[in-house]
Amino acid sequence: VLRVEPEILRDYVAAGAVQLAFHHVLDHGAASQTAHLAAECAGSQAPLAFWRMHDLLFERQDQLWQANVDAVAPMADELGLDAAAFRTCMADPATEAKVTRMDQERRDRGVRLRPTFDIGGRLVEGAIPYETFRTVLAEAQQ
Amino acid sequence: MKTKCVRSAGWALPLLLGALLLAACAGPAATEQAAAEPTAPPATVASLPTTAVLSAAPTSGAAAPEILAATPTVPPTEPSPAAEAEIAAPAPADWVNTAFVDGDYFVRGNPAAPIRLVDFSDFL
Repeated sequence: VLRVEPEILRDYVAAGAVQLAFHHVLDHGAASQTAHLAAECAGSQAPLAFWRMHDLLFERQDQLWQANVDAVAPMADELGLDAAAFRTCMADPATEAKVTRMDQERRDRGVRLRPTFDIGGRLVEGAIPYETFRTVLAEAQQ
Repeated sequence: MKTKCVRSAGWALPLLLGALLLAACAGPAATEQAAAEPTAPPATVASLPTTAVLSAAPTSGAAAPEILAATPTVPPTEPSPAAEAEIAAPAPADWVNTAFVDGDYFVRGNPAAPIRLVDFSDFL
């Protein structure tokens, strides 16, 4: 959704018509897990911080291959999060269990392609253009 | 002697009559003026603004409640159209910067939005 997210935020989320949620997909082992843990641990301090971290992680994908907390801790600092709480959360087995469980849930649901979108209960696969989003959202609004 | 008395009464009688006439005319006029003066301000208590009544109220405890009870309450002032507009139209919510937790999800946007878009994705 990254490519068209600005348009969706501007045209639908800002108007209060659509809300966004993010489902963890772990396709790259430890590197993926570290990134998703970072988003969860930001969110554990403030729900909006999840989305701030979400945006930073997509912007800095090239830094995520290190697959350790030192790669994402500076992002938490940048967002003004509690550094000690962030590291504690990153090491918490409960956080890892959550992202792993969510990844398994999408597999069980048959979500294989990335990205996949659930728009009002309808699964839409692939990196679709914004015009397609508009059409699907218009259908969902009816 | 009798002649002297009649003579002196002759000039004193008109004086006496004049004095009686003046007294008769002046008395009723003064009484009317006194009756026209109000003994108490009848309608001013009801028409005075609250602050004036309170400042004029006696300090004795017994009389004060009676005066306050008779004091008309000042009706609340009507809000101006601009004030009503402010109440009726709150600032629009910043849904882009609104987030909340719903189950496993951190959700961004209006909690009452009719459509949820879930992005299944990896950061890498």
